[in-house]
Amino acid sequence: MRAGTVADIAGVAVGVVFLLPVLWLAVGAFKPVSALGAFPPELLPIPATTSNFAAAFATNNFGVFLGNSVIVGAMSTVIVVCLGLPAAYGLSRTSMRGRGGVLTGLLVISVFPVIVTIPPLYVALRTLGWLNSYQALVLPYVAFNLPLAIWTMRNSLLAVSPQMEEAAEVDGASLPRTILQIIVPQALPGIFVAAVLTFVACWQEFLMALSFNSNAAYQTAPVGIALFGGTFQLPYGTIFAASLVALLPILLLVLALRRWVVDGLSTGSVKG
Amino acid sequence: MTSTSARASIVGPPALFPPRASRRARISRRRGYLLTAPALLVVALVTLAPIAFSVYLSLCAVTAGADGFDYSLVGLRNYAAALGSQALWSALTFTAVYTVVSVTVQVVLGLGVAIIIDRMTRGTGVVLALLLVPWAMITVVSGQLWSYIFNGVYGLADYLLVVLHVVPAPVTILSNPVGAFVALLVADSWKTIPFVSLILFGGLRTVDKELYAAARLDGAGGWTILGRITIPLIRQSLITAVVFRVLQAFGIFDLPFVLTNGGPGNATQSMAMLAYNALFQDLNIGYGAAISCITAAVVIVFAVVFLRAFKVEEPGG
Amino acid sequence: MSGVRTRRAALAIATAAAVGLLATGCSPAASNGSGGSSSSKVTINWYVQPLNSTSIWPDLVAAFNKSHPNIEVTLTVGPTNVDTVRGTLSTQLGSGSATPDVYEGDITWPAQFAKAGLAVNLTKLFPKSFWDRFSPGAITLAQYKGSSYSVPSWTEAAFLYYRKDLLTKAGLPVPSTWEELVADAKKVQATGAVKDGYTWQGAGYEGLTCDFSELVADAGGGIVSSDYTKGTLDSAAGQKALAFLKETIASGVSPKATPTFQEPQSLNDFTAGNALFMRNWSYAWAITQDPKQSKVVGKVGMAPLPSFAGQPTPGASTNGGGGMFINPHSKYLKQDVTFLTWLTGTEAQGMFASVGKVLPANVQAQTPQAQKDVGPVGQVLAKLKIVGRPVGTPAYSQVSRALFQNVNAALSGNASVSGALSSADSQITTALSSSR
Repeated sequence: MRAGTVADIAGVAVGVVFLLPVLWLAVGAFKPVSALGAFPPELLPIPATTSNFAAAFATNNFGVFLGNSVIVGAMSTVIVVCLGLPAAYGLSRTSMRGRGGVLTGLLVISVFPVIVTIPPLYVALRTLGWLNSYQALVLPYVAFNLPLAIWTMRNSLLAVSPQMEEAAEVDGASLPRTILQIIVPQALPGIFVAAVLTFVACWQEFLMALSFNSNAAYQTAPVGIALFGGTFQLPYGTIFAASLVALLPILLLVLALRRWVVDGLSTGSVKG
Repeated sequence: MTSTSARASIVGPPALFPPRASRRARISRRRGYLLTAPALLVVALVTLAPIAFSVYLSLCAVTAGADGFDYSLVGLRNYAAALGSQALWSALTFTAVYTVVSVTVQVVLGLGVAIIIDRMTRGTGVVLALLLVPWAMITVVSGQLWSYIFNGVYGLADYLLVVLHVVPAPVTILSNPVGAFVALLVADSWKTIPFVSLILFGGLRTVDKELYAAARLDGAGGWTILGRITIPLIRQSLITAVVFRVLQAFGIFDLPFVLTNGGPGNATQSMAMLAYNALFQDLNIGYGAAISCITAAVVIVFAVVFLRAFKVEEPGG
Repeated sequence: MSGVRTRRAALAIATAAAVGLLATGCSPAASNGSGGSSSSKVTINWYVQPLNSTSIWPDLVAAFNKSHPNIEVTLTVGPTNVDTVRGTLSTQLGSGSATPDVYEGDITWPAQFAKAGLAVNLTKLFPKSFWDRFSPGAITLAQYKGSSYSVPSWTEAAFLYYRKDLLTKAGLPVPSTWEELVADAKKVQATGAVKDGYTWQGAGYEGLTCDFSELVADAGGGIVSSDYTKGTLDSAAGQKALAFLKETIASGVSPKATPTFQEPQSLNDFTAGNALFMRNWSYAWAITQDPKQSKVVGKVGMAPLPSFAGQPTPGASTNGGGGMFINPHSKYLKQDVTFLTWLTGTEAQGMFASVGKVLPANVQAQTPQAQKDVGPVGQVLAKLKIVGRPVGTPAYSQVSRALFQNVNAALSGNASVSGALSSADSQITTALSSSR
């Protein structure tokens, strides 16, 4: 009990420390332009202004970019989990040959600097007629995020005891059913981690989003932020306001999945 | 026997069904191919072609012609030019040193954070969500946030250093090589420790808590439990975290791009920035592709050596 | 089926895909995507960079579309970072995309884009008389090997901003030499009226190349030899320029953080009321006069930059601004020319001044009204001595990087003056020789 309490306090402390720079961002988002460059810095935005949010959302239409990010991120994440989980199963639970080679190969692919892959991908997407669409981003995002997702989900599958699965096998359960009813519940932490990492990676990606979708109707949040200001102007206030709002979908996602994954786990998973 | 357990360290525990049961093994193997194929096909189609293309580009002189580009093979000339430039060696040195220092710091601290969260009895989800905020922040924006904090005139960092009497008057953190390095490390760690913690937390969740209790009953201390039980059991997650962090650190771009632009001088110019400069500023496509391939080659060598090393270390069982 | 065979199959697919990509990469685009083939109306796409917070781009598009029923211009606004723009544009244009038809580019791009085949040779497209509307200097900067590749659209230059109120109070005239500027700054700093004397751009980026090339020119030198074969920074002029800039920081006239300053940081120092003098572009004027962003509204004057004592005044000013390029794969070259002719005509150029608050490139549009529209910038601009950067080489980006990285290292105390300059020279010479 006492060890748990210590951990609770330490955990909250860690969370707060990591949150501090974001609080400074939030303070900046509510400051008028003239106060952003004051020294010594004003620790609280008094008087607070919402003009930065107005600039981001009313003037620069940031809401559209945000919506596109949610759509692209969600689609990519779902596809990554749907393709990655079976692959992770194949790489951890079957006796297929070349597992080590495939895992290393996946790593090698994630090594390659994204920047050099953009010109050929651009040509390919144009040939397909997919420039300025959601799939122009979803396709590369799925491909570039699958390696880490497969590695992460594979790790949690390795930790699941094979006994229940063997029992299901003996009972004559079909493979998809075994995966869905036996494997998935136990591998939830890994799936959750893979999904969050994928979603966040899509959420941040800039170069492909900029290169493949030049139409503002399909551009994502990082591109939207890069359009703020002018050549010599760095509008910290507008950028901070937009980024603050851009954090909300991620927070909501994690909080929504929390009960399902974290809480469910600590009570539910009893292993032999 | 030895070969099976050696393989196990990278591939995981021995397959469900031992090789003796040949029919089951065959079914299992076919299943493996079937389940892996869709994902591998997507990855291969989307990534392999561009990668092959850029390797080809690195061997070309790309010139403009009347109807678009003309690619003429020039052998290893781009590589010779890259390896002969002082900029590449200083970028490689910076990137390598930065990778070693940052990954060490982040994995050690990340493990600590993961253990704390794993032991929490209440509020785990909320703290996880808080931790994800830095990781979720758009990298360019976090670069701008930290450049705002490290600003040499009105930055919060200087203010705090002065208030806490660390320095008598505001100093310019970003204009000396060590300060710029530390600033990058702080900004980067803030963002990536949560990533490491999340992966390790995923591993810790699967560890049977009764093992800890049993060890404690046997009189084992905290460090012994950490070294003997926790780390070996989350080994796969640790390998994942280290490997992917090394890949990311070696490709570091956004942060120095926004925070230091490679400065002072070229003290914090990374390999990825060098490639970006060649491709996006100089429009020197073959040269930029060569730098990218050199970067990739260095990391691939690391990845293979690292994975091998871990395979060898694995005791027989 | 074995793993080996699977791998081989995957490799075959990948190779096929790569070959396919290569083939399409070599040929000009077949698809354009923009419609309008059935009627006579043609759609052309125009790519620009954000200029400032005004509505200049959409206003120009609306005005053009209204007066040209057979051409519809659609607008794409790119990111603010000029290198990111260069990267995306070269990806699109280099792959043979037919859009954007017309794009805005930096003043430093013509040689590089011409050599890379990313821009149309405009000398052939426009009548000779078309170019009369620009100043000869602006035309030269947009040329490569005697042909024009960019149509100047708006201009921008560097100015000295000063605090009228403080100079008057101290009984000082606006300085015309750098030595006076430093002496004035020290005097006013000593009274405690300002913390900093002079704020400029010392970070390792393109802006430092601008600041530094002005001082080298003031000292009677240049960055590269006139035949573009070697760097000439490690000269008496180069050393004088660098020693001067270092001294502004060492003596406390310029903030210690100057080696990390770009335009926004130096402007911020000035608008917060902390600095007596500032070097900055014309865009800064409007911000110094915006009460929401500035504490020095009504207290600011503008003048040409000073020169070194004993040299002709005023000192050198770098110019900047935007020019329009045409995509070599554009299907509508005739319409592109119509659009650019209109864009550089007096009506549109007047809008650059009245709506966009920037100076038009068309000299006929630089009217008293236009000068009034853009503030004191307009009056001072005529007095400036414009000195261009060495943009006549396709390797300009490498030349500039060699300069700003080495000079920044010296400014931040990590290299000596002559060490930095000779290292810059050797890198510049290498870049120039490899680009020929």
